[in-house]
Amino acid sequence: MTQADRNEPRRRNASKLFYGTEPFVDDLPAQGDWHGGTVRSRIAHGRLIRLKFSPEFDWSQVVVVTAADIPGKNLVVCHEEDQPSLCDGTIRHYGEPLALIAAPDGELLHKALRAVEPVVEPLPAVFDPFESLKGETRIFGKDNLFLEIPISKGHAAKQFASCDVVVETNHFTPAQEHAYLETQGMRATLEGNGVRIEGSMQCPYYLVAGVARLLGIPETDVRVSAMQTGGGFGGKEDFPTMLAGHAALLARKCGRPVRMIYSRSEDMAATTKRHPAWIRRKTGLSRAGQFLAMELDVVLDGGAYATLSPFVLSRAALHAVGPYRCDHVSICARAVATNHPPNGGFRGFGCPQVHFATETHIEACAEKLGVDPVELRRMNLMKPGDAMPFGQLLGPGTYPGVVLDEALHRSRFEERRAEIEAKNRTSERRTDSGDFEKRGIGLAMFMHGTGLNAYWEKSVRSRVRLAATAEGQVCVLTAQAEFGQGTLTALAKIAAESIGLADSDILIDHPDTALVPDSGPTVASRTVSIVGSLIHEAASRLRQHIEERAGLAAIYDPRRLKAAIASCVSGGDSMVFEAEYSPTDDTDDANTWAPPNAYPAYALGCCVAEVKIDTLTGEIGVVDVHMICDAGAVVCHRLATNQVFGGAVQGIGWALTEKLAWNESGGMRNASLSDYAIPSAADVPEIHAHFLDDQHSERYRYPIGLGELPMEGPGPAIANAVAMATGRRPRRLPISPEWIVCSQGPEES
Amino acid sequence: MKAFEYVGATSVDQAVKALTPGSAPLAGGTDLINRMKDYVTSPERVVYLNDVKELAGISGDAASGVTILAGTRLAEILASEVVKSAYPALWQTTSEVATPQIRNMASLGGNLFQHPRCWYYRSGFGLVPKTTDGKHMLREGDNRYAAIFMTDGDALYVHPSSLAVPLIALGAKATLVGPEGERTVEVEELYKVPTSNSESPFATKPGEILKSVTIPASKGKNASYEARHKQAHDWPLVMASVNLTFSGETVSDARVVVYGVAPVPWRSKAAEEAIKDKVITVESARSAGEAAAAGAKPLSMNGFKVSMLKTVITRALCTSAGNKYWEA
Repeated sequence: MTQADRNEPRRRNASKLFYGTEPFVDDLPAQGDWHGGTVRSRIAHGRLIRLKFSPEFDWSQVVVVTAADIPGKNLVVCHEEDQPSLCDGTIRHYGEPLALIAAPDGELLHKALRAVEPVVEPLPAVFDPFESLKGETRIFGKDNLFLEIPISKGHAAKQFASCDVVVETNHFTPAQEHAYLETQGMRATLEGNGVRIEGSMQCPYYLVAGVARLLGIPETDVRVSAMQTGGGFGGKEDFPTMLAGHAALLARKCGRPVRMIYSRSEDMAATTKRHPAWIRRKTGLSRAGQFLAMELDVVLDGGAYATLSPFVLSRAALHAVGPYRCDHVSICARAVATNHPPNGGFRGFGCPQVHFATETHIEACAEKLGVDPVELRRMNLMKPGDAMPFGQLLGPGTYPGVVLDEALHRSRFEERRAEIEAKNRTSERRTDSGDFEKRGIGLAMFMHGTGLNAYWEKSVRSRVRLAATAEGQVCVLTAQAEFGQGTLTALAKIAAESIGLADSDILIDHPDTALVPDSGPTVASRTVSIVGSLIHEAASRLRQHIEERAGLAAIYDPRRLKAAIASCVSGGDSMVFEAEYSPTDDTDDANTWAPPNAYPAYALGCCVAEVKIDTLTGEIGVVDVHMICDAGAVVCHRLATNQVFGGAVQGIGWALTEKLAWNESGGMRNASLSDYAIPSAADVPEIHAHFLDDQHSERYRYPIGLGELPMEGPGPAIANAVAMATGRRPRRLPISPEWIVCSQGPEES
Repeated sequence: MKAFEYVGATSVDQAVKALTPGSAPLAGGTDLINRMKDYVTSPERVVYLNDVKELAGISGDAASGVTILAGTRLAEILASEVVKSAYPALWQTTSEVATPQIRNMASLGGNLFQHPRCWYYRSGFGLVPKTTDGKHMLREGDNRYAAIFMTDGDALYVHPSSLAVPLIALGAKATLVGPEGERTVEVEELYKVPTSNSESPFATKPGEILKSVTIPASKGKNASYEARHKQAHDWPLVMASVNLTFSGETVSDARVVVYGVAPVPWRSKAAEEAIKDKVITVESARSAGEAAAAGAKPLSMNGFKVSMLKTVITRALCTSAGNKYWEA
């Protein structure tokens, strides 16, 4: 049976999405809604003296909200309490919200926004994290350091002396824009004593806490309904809390529903990006190629406020060595404040950055040793039971070497590499100035721990609920949002299979906090793995109940089971079953950022990419991509394959086309999709996705989480392919035509 | 966007009358609407031209020349057999504009009169973007996509219309219609170089719109070659269009026009001189490319365009002569 032949449920809301009848937030009928907008800073750092309101504008037509109007705490909190919802006197980044305006229509709103002029006193701004660490310009705390995570195993510093070869390289990976199809959007309506929020988001319960804190009302007075959301990629993890708070403040002030829908340019300029990362990697090896010692410095530009930076840094630090074994490791990971807009969550969450460094660094090590980089990897890959630098042992059934072999086999890597080597030597495409078309093939391993790290996963205490109906159907109640990845379809399938009902007898909808328990955020590839396992647990309680009431036979036939459920409901049984996340092992409460058993399981991947380069025009074409993923059981192959395609495309864009340019104030200069180039269909080759999931191993009984994994491989694989084609190792992304054509390109500066 | 008055025109005459100062003509809208959404352009009145039947269509043939009316969609230009066979420089460039969806909407006139893509301009700083203390934002800032010719002046953006380049190479003429009647100019005369933000990059008179473009009879050989960042949904980084007339094997007359290097389509007289009286080979084509680059003065981040310029000219010349540029 091939993967495509499996009996797969249809995407839950496919036809509604296709016909355009599934509403997104801006499709909600206007019920006297006012339009909300944001007055933003044009400087990177300074003091807000006051806001000058033009006397030529009739301000009675609109409402204005400033920090002084906030009834609760003027804070947006992910971890640190450093970010105000509206400027509290100090401006720390370009685009920072200074005030809010609501108007009956969009044009009047625009006029009003233009009639406000912030009077500011600029302060020196710092955009380089290394400059920032000198502390001359104070942004956060005493030293501008959001967090430092040291991880140490063995005695790396001592060990280098006894290594045969030591290789040291520096790497840079850039910011990246999420470019979700639907921009950020939120609607706030006054409801009872509180407020109702509807909008585009990943984490409804984050908004409950955030809006309650801002308005100074109990969380029970905030109701949040996630709408169908047009893409998130981590960009709708923390930011919607800010936007929901703004919409709620305006609704409270004008007494009407307020909708705030960002334009593309506002969205790109004002919301979070992937953290730019500077990574220094030093490895000591034996002559035979064994990794003996490693030293890593990871520096993330967190932007002006901490937001999710500590969490991203934690994942980067925990994955910094990749799936390799080394007994002496010293890692220093730092997230640093600068006057850039805050950087936040983005698919991969720190992993793409460190994997890029690791996988391009290994090639440099192989070159220095004069060995095949594939063999160097194979020699050093971890096996089950091997310890990671922070102490966790790689779990049973987790074999990076198997993933590597599968990738080599499926991509015919060694054959293709030999063919390309030969072809590059005797290129048919010649000019008088020499060969210009070069090809290259490259490979990269990557891994991704599922869920939040053990400390935070434990502190969330996720709960799911199953509730049976009088018809014998079962509602799945979780806080997981649907933003294109197929949450509703996958969770329904897990419920159907776990309970034993037909897929059509499972009811699931977009989460509404008035109805669903807090099953945690829709992030960290945790939906099918963590939340799915809770659904499975609640389902087994439901089955046990039916077995007790109707006998064993009832639970093995979907029709009899449905009838038995209906009969229990009509008989007065409550028929509500919950499950709550409780980690099996004791998590060290002191170890927030690098707990010894950081993740319950690790998904693995290997990407092989082949490129074609015109060395005279600098055009780089990716001609073939193989993605081999081991993410435990695959719930829905079609959705999983789509995740791999989407992730690979995002990885190709990060590697080749997506160059974020900053303006003089540290904001995004190219805040439009015609200037910030995401790959088009013509830039993407056929992507071959393959899952290791049909083996007779405990590992493949449950899903491990796949959402982020595929983003992490193409960057380093493409860089390695480009290195083979050009003989120059890209140390920075994106690899641009400018860099290929001559070293005069901006990437070299 | 700012609210505007909407006027639908059904004849050129009506359109010209409706295009009062502060108005903008709307055909495909693929550039105008985005500028309006971003408040780069905020017309008081928008005049809808898509119902003007006398503005759409292609007529003529290779022997007598071809006239393309201004409202003709790019997809229709691509569907034209005569354009494809006699004017491959134009056909090739048209085929590489944006995406199929945009080519179905965008018009020839809109392409020729699109506004520059310079990100300082699109962020509201004008075509000559300067800080309050007089620093040129493009000269001092991120200028990787800016001009490498005419950089002693203050207009450092690059001209956005890729179709203007082959049309100028082919010697096309533009017919404009306005309150004072019709007039015909060379396509290159549609453009000028502004010296301040109050000046227009277009040399049209108030109220004038483009009616048609006429390409003279096809005599020699022509071709275009683009170097790109993305393979679709993007503008070229650098592109060359060439149009050659031959006397036997040797080039008797040449036009070489380049995109992406100056605030106007850049006619390289140096390359034209260099290829004249030569047989097209990779060597002679490359010499022409070298000649074209001689006067280039790149800014701090766009030196790469100089070598791209040489490559696209070499390849366009080789392609036009039917030589594959990779065969030495």
